Parts: sequence; C-alpha cells; structure tokens
Amino acid sequence: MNEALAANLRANGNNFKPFLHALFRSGEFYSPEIVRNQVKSPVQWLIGSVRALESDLPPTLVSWGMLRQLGQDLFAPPNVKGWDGGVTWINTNTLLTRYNDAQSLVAGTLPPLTANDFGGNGAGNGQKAMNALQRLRVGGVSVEKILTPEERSDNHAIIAALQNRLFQTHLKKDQQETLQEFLAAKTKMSDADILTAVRLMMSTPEYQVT
Amino acid sequence: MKNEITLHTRREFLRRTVLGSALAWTVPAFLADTFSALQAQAAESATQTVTGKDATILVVLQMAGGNDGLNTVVPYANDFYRRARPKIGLQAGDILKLNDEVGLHGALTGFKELYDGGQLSVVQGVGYPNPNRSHFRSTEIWQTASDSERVEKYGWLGRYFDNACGGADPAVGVTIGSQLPEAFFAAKQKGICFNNPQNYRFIANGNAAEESYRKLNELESSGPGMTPDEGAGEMLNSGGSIGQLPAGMPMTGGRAIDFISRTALDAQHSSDEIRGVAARVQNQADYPASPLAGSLKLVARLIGGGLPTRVYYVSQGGYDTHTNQLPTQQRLLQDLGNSLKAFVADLRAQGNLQRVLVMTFSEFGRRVSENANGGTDHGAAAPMFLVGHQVKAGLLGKYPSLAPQDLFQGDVKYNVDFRSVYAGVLEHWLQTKSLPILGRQFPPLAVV
Repeated sequence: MNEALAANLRANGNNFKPFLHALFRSGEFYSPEIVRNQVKSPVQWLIGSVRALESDLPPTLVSWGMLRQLGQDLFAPPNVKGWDGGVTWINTNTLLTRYNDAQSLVAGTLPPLTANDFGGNGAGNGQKAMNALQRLRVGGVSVEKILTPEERSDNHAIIAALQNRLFQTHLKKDQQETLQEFLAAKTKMSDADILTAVRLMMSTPEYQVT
Repeated sequence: MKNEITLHTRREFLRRTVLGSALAWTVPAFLADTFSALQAQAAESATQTVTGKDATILVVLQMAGGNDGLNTVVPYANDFYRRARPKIGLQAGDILKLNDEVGLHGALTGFKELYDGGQLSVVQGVGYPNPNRSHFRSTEIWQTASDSERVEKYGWLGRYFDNACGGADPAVGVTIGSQLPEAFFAAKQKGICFNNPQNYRFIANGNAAEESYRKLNELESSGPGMTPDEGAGEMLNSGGSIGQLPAGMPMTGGRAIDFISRTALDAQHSSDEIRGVAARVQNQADYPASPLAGSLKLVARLIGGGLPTRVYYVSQGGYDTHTNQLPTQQRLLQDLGNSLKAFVADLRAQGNLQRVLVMTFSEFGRRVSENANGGTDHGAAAPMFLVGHQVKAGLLGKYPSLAPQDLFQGDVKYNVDFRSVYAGVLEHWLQTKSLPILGRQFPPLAVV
C-alpha cells in the first residue's frame, strides 16, 4: 500500500490530487482494522461533541477542568514525551467522567468538578476556581438544531437521525432496542427526554472511538 | 483443552467458582472462550483467590519529584555531609536521632513514633545500576521495574495482577487519583482508579436513564477477530521476558472498542462496589488536612469495607526541590509522617493493621552537594520506608558512603537494588513468586 502510493505520487510529479484520490478509493482505507478504531482524545471528544451537537464550547474554565479530568491538561503534557494516546486515554475513571461530562454538555449543567481537579498543592487555587465556576454557565443543546420536525416524527426516526449525527454508523441492534425502549416509555416525549437519549448514546464505548 | 470437570481439591473448587463468577460479571463475551484457558492457567500458576477479609494488602506511596534522601534520613555526624551542605545541612539539634550516625528529618515526628513502636523500617541506599536523572525516565524505571537501558510495556504491579490475580475483581488494584500509574499497566488485569468516590459513577437523571446506561454498557462487544499482541514490541529482560503470558490471551490486542467495553464493565461493577463501601465505613483517626491524607483516609475506608483489593496506590507530589528546599521539604515530610501515623492508627482501630504494608518510593534522591539556590538537583539512590505491624523494624541496608572517592559523578551509589525490595514485598508479603513478575531472581529483602 505505502509503496503503491509512493509510486503514484512520483508518477504524478508529486501532485497530491491523484495521490489522495487513490488513497480515499483504496480498500485498505476502509478496512475494519482502520475504521472506527481510533480512541478520541479528550480534545477530540470535547470539540467533536459540541460540533456534532451544534452547541458552543463551554467557558474556558469549564473546558479546562473537563480536559484535566479526562487526562489531557492542555499545553501541560505529563512529560516531554507528551501523551501516550490511544487506549491509555481510557480507564474506569476517565470513562465515567466522559459519560458524566456528556450530560453536562447536553443539558447545559456544570460538570461534576471538585477543587482537586483544579488544584496543585494546597486547596487555595482549587477553591478559587470552584468559586469562579459557580458563576459560569454551560450552553446545552437545543433539540430544534439537531432534529428536523420530520426526524422527530417517531422514535425510530429520532434514533436513526441521532445515530447518523453522532456515529455516522449503526449502533448494535440491542443498543438500538434499548434506546427505543427508553423513548417508548415516555408517554409525552419532551425535549429533555430526547436530550437524555443523546446523552445515553454518548455514554457508550462506541462513542469513544472514531 | 481437556473438558474435565472433576474437582480434586477444595482449593480447586474455590478457584473455579470464584473465577467463574468474576468472569461472568466482568468480562465481555469475546473473552468467554478464554475462560477455560484461564482455569487451566490458574490450576498450575500462583493465582491467588482471596477475599476482602483475610488477604494481605500493599499500599504503595509515591513521593513524586525526587525526594532528597540525605535530608530525610540524615547522616548528621558525617563530615562529608556537612561539607557538601553548608547552607541546607541539618544539624544534630534539627533531627530525630535513630542512632549515633543517622536520624530522621525533624518534621518526621510521625515516623519517629512508628519507628519507636516497631512499625517502621528504613531501607537505606536504594537505587539501581546506571541511574537516570530524568524524572520521566526514572519514574518509568521504578514503575516497570526495568533495567535502566530497557523499556518495558507493563508495570510491575500490573504484572503481579496478571500473574497472580487472574480473573480477580477489577478492584484488585485501586489507584486514588485520576490517572492509572504506569505500575498498573497490564496485559489483562489492570486495576481501576478514581479520585472522588461520590463522582465515581454514572450520574443519571432518573431511573430509566440509569437502567438504559447499564444495558447499553453491558452488551457484548462485536469486534471482529482479536489479534493478540503479546510479545509484540515487548523487550526481553536479561534472564527472560517479564510477565510473559500464554499465547492467545487477548486483552490489549485487537480493537479499541473491545478494550473500552471491558473498561466500561469494570467501571460499572467497581463504582457500585466502591460507593457502597465508601459511604458505609467511617474513619477512626484524626488525619491532617492534605491531599495525601485525603487519599489515605479513603484507602482506610475501602480496606475497612472489605474490598478484595490487594494493592492500593497513592501519591504525594512536590519533592522536586531545586530552590529553597528547607521549608518545602519540611512541609511535605511533616504531612507524610503525620498522614501515615493517622493511617496506622485508623487501621489499628479497625483491626486491619496486621494485613497492611505501606511502601514508599521516589524516582531518585538528590545530589550530595547542595546547589546555589538553597536546593538540590536530581541525584540517585535514596531511602525507602516500609510501614506496618509486621515490618522488620529498624534500619535495613547500609547507608551509602559520602566519601568523594565513593561517589559516582557526585551521587551516592546504591547498596540495595529497588527490585530486591519489590521481590521481598512480593514473596514475603503478597506471597507470590517474584521471578515471573520481575523477570530475574533478585535476592528478596526480608521486609517482614
């Protein structure tokens, strides 16, 4: 594959257009070992989520706290080697934090941060940050932006549209059924219920990869 | 694979049932096939099936940043020491004497009490050959128990989990903190971490959402064929590979989604367990108000609640004292000594002190000579502390010579390889063979 692409590049006078054409049309580019096998970094997760949900990035202090909790203290890697990335982003703590931060992004509530998440030594700085945090607001998601009236027409359409938006692929059948059941149990479906479904979709192993 | 179900011993029966239920609980279906392989492995290996009531427990305490060993266990009577440290050298009046040659830093009153009570041992001059003065690299060496020139993929405690705790509860290793230390990195059984038990859960808006979350995260993984990567990129230590596993044991290999699915199950199981325990058990001692004390308070509650955890990991940062060392180290050591003293009192009140051993480490000591800023720079060997009811109390090992001709590039030379301390802890305390975990047979230090 590499050799073939290199040859292509050379044959076309180092022109990138035919090179990318060949790359994107290759079977390897879409092989199961490659597609959806990359763990989203915390930054990818946060920015990708607010883009997909057409909402705003939370205020700097909130975003910073979230990223620190998720293991990526931006501009302050743990050492000169940087972050290891890949599956090392995921442990039991960071995974649950992703699930809970999803709620914050979707519902527009403050994430469950504590003074420790901001502190180095001593409680001073952490407490200051916590006080500042109480004055901030997270935007939240508006259902009109992410679903058209037709897409809202029934539960299947809702799940299908959200799936497309968040995964660009299907969840597993059982997972889809779980989400259907969740929505079906609501006699009068509110925006809040739909947003909870969005949060649930983000609270899956599948949402952590791209 | 033989399909025999005949049980020969009671031990075997226990192992099968405990392993079986733990697996059913925590392991996605893609692993179910390896269940019988795990059984076979358990039958002949050192797999430990223990409960939260009787097993010994190790608490590892990292003093991050490189603690100055010379001003912690102070050779107050040594002329070379006083010459090398005209400004920050501690005098006989500043310290808590242990004998005619050395004494503890004056802030370590908590340690002195433990020492006098026969609950503290000081391992002097611990290090390793060809010491590295980079925080990052030296920490990695301590975390993976590797030789200075080799890079290992898994941590020494992770290899302990893999080798001796197969199929155990995910909480077999618990780190108080937001990130898993490299020491926990493992092929199969990597332990869990959290910093706040209240937030260590899926915070649900409503029961229906909670129930759906559980279902969404309980489903089996649907990844295509797993490709085990055991051995791939793993370097061999002289004398054999560290923590080598039987071929065909998938865990870190294969697709990211499978790894995350398993982590999701571990998270779900352990968060229920831990929140329950943390809410139920109270501390029974007065701790200082510090992040370290907070971590130890939590560990004491988890031990009291009977978690089946074998290794807890806590850390205290700030030891990188390049400038104005005296007040910083004073504060840190005082916190360390008082926190551990309270921890011991708490465990004694619970009746669990006999089961617990605390081991401290720091990535390196500091240079013998002070620098021009009233601090010290990165050095080599330093003391380790062991705290517990059953420790060989007193001074272990030999204090490194400070005579200029005995130094290597201005640093003290080690007398005890840190892996001998690890070997002693593994063999004498955790009751498992150290060879498969450390890759070589290091003479186990008699720690208890």
